[in-house]
Amino acid sequence: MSSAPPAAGAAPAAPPPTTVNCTINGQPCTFPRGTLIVDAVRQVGRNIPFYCYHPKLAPVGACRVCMVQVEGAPVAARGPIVTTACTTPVFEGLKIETMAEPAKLARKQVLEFLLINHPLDCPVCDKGGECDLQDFTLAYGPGVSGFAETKVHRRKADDLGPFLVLDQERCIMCQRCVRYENEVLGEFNLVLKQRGDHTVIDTGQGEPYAGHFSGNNTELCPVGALTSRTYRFKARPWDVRAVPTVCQACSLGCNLNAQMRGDAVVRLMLRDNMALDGGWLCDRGRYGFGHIRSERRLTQPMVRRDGRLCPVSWEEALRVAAAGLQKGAAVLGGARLTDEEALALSELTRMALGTNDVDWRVGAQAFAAPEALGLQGAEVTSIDRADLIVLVDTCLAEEAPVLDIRLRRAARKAKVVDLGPVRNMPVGRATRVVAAVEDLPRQILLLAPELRAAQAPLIIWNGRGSQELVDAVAETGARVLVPGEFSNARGAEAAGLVPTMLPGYRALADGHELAALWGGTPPATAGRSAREILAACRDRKIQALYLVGANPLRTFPDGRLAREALDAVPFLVVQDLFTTESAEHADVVLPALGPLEKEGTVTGLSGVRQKVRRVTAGPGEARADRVILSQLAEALGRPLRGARPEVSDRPVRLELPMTSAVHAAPGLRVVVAGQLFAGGGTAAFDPNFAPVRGDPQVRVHPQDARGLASGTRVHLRGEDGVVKLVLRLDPGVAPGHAVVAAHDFGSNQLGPWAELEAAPAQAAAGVGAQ
Amino acid sequence: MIRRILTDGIGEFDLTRLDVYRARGGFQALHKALTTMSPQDVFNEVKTSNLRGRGGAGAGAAFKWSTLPEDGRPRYLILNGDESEPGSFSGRMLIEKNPHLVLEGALLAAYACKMARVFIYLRGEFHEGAQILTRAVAEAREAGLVGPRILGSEFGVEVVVHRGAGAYICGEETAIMESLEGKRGHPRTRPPFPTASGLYGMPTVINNVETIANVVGIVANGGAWFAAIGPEKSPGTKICSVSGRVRRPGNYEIQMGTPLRELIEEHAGGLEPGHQLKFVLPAGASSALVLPKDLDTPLDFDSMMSIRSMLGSAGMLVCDERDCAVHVAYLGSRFYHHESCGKCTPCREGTGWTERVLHRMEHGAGRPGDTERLQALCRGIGGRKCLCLLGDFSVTYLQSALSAFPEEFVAHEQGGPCPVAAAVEVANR
Ligand SMILES: Cc1cc2nc3c(=O)[nH]c(=O)nc-3n(C[C@H](O)[C@H](O)[C@H](O)COP(=O)(O)O)c2cc1C
Ligand code: SF4
Ligand code: SF4
Ligand code: SF4
Ligand code: FES
Repeated sequence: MSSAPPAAGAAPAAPPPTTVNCTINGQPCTFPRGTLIVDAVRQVGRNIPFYCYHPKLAPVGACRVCMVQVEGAPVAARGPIVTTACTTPVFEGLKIETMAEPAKLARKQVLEFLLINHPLDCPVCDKGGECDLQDFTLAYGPGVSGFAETKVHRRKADDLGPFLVLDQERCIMCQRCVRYENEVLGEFNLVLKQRGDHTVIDTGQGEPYAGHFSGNNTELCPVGALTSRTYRFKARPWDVRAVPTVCQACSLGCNLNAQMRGDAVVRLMLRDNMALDGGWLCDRGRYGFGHIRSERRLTQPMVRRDGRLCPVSWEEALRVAAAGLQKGAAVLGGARLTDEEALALSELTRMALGTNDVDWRVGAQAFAAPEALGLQGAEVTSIDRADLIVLVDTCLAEEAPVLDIRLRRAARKAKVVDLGPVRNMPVGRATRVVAAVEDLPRQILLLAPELRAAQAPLIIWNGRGSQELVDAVAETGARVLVPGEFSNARGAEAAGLVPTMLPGYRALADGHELAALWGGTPPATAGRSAREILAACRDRKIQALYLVGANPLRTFPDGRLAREALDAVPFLVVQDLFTTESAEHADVVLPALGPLEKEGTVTGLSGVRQKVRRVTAGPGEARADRVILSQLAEALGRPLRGARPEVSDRPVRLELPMTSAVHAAPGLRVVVAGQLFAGGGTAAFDPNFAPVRGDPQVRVHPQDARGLASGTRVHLRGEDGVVKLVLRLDPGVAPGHAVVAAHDFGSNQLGPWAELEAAPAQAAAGVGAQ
Repeated sequence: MIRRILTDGIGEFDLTRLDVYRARGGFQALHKALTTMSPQDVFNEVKTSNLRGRGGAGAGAAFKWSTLPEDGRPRYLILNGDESEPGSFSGRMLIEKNPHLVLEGALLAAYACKMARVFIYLRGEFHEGAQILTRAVAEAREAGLVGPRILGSEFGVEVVVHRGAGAYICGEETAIMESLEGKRGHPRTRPPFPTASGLYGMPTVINNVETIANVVGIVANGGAWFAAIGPEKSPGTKICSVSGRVRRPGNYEIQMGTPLRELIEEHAGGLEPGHQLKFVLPAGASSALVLPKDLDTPLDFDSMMSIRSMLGSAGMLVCDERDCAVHVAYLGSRFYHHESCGKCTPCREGTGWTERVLHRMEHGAGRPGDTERLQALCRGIGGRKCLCLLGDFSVTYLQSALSAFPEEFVAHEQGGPCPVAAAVEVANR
């Protein structure tokens, strides 16, 4: 204090105690310093009403309904006052009375105010029965209203975009939605407009809501203002029961409650697991239940007769499948199964089909567990603790969206480097380092000293790439998190659905360790990788192919090879939920149950195993993969033992191809990037996503646009084929690149290089033959 | 005993010109401070002066400054020139007619508190004031009075002139910060208080333009000089804006403690001939009515509090017997309904309800029970239950009107014509 205004009473004091003692309704209690009265009151099991307060958001003190009476310094040194419990912390000696008459009166007045412009359309309101406005009015409000004037009217049943419907009249201006958009997402999809009692919630310019996390608003909203289109008029809360389960739309595995009316899923809701999902869901997870009733669901077993797929009995289908597979089969898929099913598939492949020709890697992802490559894995919460995070060609918002929410929060204090050909975080939130896919290893080595110097470095990497990239990552010493392409890639990898490993990361040479469990020793010669299997199919060196939850025509990076393989293979069995492009080629189709229709466990990206529950029966005659696999094994004459082998104490490492370099060619380098609603899994077949799926797009840097405008229909002419797409100009794409959506049909049909050209008039988006 | 400190020279000289302002002694206080005083010295003089905030609450300026934490973060000074209180126009005059005084005061305050930047926030409607002030700041910058190394010293500070978009709430000390940050003008909860975490989360002092303008005289003449003017606890002068039913509406700089009667009857020329004072709204629409019986109350913070009204911004709205209390209340309710920011429930919903009731009463559609309803509304909105003081302001004047003129409200409940208007008509016949 030399020359500035003196701070009052700046004597050095002992650090204040970390807890304070106060009384709540006369009951003495102790809380950590800084605890808000509202939290304190809730912790001692007392109730007060609140609207704007929400444990996941910062307090604003807007609704004024959480009034309590307090007495004591410093807030009420001169006698009792009423104050908002959500903005006032507890102080030493504070006397808090939740049921004091002045507080009760203040709450009553606020509740009366809240209803004066409210439409009171409870009978037709989706929130009726679980509405805080109903509940608190009943518990704390006045019995009658003195309001006898005209109400303010606003927009009702307002379409806010793909999933949200807004009733502005029901809004009580708690701003939870607006604050969530700001504080949690760092977005501005919902804003306040106008002033006073004309204030409304809306999107910025009245445009459709554009974001991946809109649905959380419907649970934050304490009233029936923000509701889900999919749930409108579907059920009443007293009609539904909740079944806890886990989302399987990506490898994160957010926890959710499936709400059931009878056997129908009517909505999916948050089931907070703060260390995993932070208490949020993305829209793909929340609204991805429409596929249960998709018209493209497979409901009966089918066998190809005279060129056409004909419905048959299960016995018949299994018999035909077994007979065909017995001639020498390879297996692709398994990364969408449960852990138990993946193990069953592993056993069936090894013991009933007698081969190691099995691979879950029907996409671009090359591994699931960093540990399998000798790297150090990370936890989801490693993001919170990291001080330096490098995103390696990974867009969390599209690939494991809820993890992106965590990353956005971390990015406020940690440095984030966004490395790769496409910008994956908004400008300003991360340090952008443009790098071609082939250049990633070199760029990571450049970052290695900084990563090594960091306290808690973390690499988030989608698991695509080469051994060269793995070695570069190993140099950094950073922990690694792999948000994969398939929901249970880790479970599949652990189950040995790779050609070089048995379950439990066990060497093929150690197969004898399984002899007791499996009743025999699995084959010891290395099998073929997905690429080798497809090439062998194309070359007619494999007689039969068994696809389990796999659609290589859409997902395999070399789409031309996949097409030629499926065209050539003499016998194809497809076990899936939908009439996929690959299923259309099948000789036998086995209809399987989906993620909400079966039991088991799944292994998330960080290795945590979670239980999934069967919440609904599923359509037609579809059966759980576990059941199909065991019945097929029986038909193959080698029933499954179904044991779960331990993890090997001498785990082997996966080896990736040395480089991912491609030949040079003219045109734009084609890269695939995750896109939430584009394809993959169930989303491509989910009618709930029809409004957001849109036509397949290609994104290029404006300088590569050849004078074409955003929104134009274009042709991308690759070495392997021509794809019709809608052009999007995106300065976030590195010049010289053409970005297509992973798993979007056609994205893998181009080859590594392509030329952009204007489409002839009237051409619709889709895939064209060359 | 009339002292003109802030308005000295206004009307005679073009003080918007830097050379004119300097020729009359302008920027000598700044020169004195920068050459002979430490920031602590300047602070001490302000403390000695006992200067109280002119923005409404009358908080001690030095006390507010002293609560700035000493933690190395950049500090900001905001000059509150939002002045949206109905009937207040003293700040406007200072900005338009004596901008360099405001600027010099700001520089002195910035020096005393080691501010990183000064923001002068002007009411959206002050087109002309913004132009004049911007020009004044540019002129001063050219003369080495704003920017780095002011007058060759080590001290430097930037000054930003910002015009609001026209909202009363943006004069509230935290809404002004949201507004400056480019957000909606919504008040924030306290704590944290602005001096701990204000504009952009940094320690911030916010003072009214008139408060800051007073710092010039205090530094020039010493804190003791200022403390000796007027009442001990409310020293200095106050520019009062008088409007309504007076013969000479306008701004009058009076010594604190001058009786309200003197302001109205002498300075403002008294009421229009043949009319009698009915009540005064001394702080625009946000204070309780002052009735004729209290007309001798000295105009200072504490005396005005003692009659349960307040000095506030001293925007005096004078009403005579022709003004129906219901009509005035209706106008006030319209203002508050329009200006409620909508963030918190009682004010957002209550001001609209109040206006709707008064609108009916004013337009011959009153209903029995309306007066009682208004009283209930005042209880529901008032009593510090709102997030900011606007809610309380919106009922203070109404409550005092209801208790001072109950018969006028009751008459309007009957749904008939206004008795006050009827009486005026009779008188005019
Ligand atoms: C609704 C509302 C409007 C206000 N408007 C103004 C204003 O226009 N000008 C002003 O100086 N203070 C205004 N104030 C007071 C400010 O919040 C703040 O107290 C004042 O600017 C502090 O300056 P002072 O300490 O110099 O008086 C307003 C307060 C409220 C609650
Ligand atoms: S929001 Fe609540 S109170 Fe309003 S109509 Fe819906 S259920 Fe009723
Ligand atoms: S829409 Fe819902 S969450 Fe948003 S402010 Fe209104 S009531 Fe609150
Ligand atoms: S009292 Fe009125 S102006 Fe102040 S925050 Fe509440 S609604 Fe806004
Ligand atoms: S819950 Fe406390 S003010 Fe809204």
